[in-house]
Amino acid sequence: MIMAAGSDGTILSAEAGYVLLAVFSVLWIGLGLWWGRKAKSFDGFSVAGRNVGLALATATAVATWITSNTTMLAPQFALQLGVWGALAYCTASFGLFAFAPMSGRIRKLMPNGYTAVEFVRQRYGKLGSVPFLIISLFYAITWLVSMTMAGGKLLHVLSGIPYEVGMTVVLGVCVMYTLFGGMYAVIGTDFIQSLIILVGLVVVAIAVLTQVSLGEVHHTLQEERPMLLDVFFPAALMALFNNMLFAFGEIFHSNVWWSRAFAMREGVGPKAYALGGLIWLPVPVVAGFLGLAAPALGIGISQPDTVGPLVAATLLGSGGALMVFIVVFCSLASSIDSLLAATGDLIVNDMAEPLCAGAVSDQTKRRWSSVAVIGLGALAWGLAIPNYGTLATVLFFAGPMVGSCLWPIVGGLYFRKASPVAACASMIIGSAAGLIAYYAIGWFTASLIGAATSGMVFVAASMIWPDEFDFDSLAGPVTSSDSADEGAVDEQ
Amino acid sequence: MIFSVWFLKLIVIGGIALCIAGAVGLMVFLISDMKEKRIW
Repeated sequence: MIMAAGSDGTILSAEAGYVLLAVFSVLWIGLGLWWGRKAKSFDGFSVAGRNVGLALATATAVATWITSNTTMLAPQFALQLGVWGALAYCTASFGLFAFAPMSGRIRKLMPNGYTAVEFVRQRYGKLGSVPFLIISLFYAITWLVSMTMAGGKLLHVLSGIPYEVGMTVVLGVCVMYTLFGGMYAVIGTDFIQSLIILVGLVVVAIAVLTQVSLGEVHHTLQEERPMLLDVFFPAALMALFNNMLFAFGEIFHSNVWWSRAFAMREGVGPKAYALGGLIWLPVPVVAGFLGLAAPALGIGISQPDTVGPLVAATLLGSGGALMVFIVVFCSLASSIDSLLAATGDLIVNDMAEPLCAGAVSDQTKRRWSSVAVIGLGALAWGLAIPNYGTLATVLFFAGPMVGSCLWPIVGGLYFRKASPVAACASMIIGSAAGLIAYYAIGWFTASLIGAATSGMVFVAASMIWPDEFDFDSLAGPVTSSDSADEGAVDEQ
Repeated sequence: MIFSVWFLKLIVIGGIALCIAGAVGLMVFLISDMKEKRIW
């Protein structure tokens, strides 16, 4: 009877929720400890020995990009913006496709690199790296808090577990296995999580299709909410471009993706990111279908960002609730662990180490990484406790800022003339313009205007104050950690 | 002008099929990497 619905109207009993939490917590932490044997040095902890193969590399791209926002926000997009809403979310995969060739170039230019900020610091100096570091940290922490909040909300909606308890457990588990296993644990668990998410989504979608046909869904939408089927739905079309630029900016700037590019074996990155994009592409449509099906099923939605779990759980009962619980828990974990590891690297590599006058040993950096992961977990917990705003509000507030990083990164990787002044001005002016648009027009224009303004400023400033950068200068010397880690990184 | 029912069927059924192909593909890559001892 542990799976029976709760007495307070939830789909799953609190006991079932606690059992699932316990099972997956033990699994992830156990795997973190197992893989943590390899993560003794900073090189192993932060970039998994730089030798990740195609299977794990592809899966980590898929799992990291399937956030709880994909499984919870895509149905909300579909419910509020219709078919275009689901398709708009799909355009986020274009960011993975575009990053595929960039990942190869990053690996080639910086064979011993660790972070995106490290690249910007070497490429543009402090003028570019200071605003970039601020944006990177702001976005990473916003995303981390958004995921943590999603964890608390999901557990509460499905099983009645108090928000504070749910989000604390989800965050705590991710902190622990990232702490033990670093990037090895993050990438290893990503493979299992990506399989669970893909299979879980397929099972839920097929089960929903056995209850309601696509013809019925279409008919109900046409009768009750025709705007959701409108080919020329203005806000939805704006969201399409906004989401695409948000994704470009997010993937291009975030150390979550750069650290994976450094971790992948030479030649693997471009294939892994392209395949990851292809596998990720259909996920928002399948998840969004749950939102589109809600009106046909007569399911009342009080909180739009939980429409997906509610539809599946209401329709499929305990089995559906369990499946959705597991899928979203995996989505959350795959993003939270990545953010903890990648943002910890930023703190160690781009804040703490540059502040030290002398050389910092590999073991010292490894210890700092542990402290950084714990500190980030504590910070995210403190910010998520008030449970402020919807997921979309929190996430899209950072959209214009990451959109304004798009051109400085692309320009910095491929064009010698891209200059520090241009990078700095484009990030600051683009972010400001996007934030003004966010408040004056709406969230669905913020990234679009931020990226467009940033692009114009970047091109103009690079023409007025051109640089002549030597890309060979990016290839730093081989670090001591390379040899230190060899013994720990044995092939399986 | 609205999206027709066949388009809805195309993206939903197509999406499910691609998800299945993705999961199978990941397993194939893993087996291939294991055979060549190139997981990491």
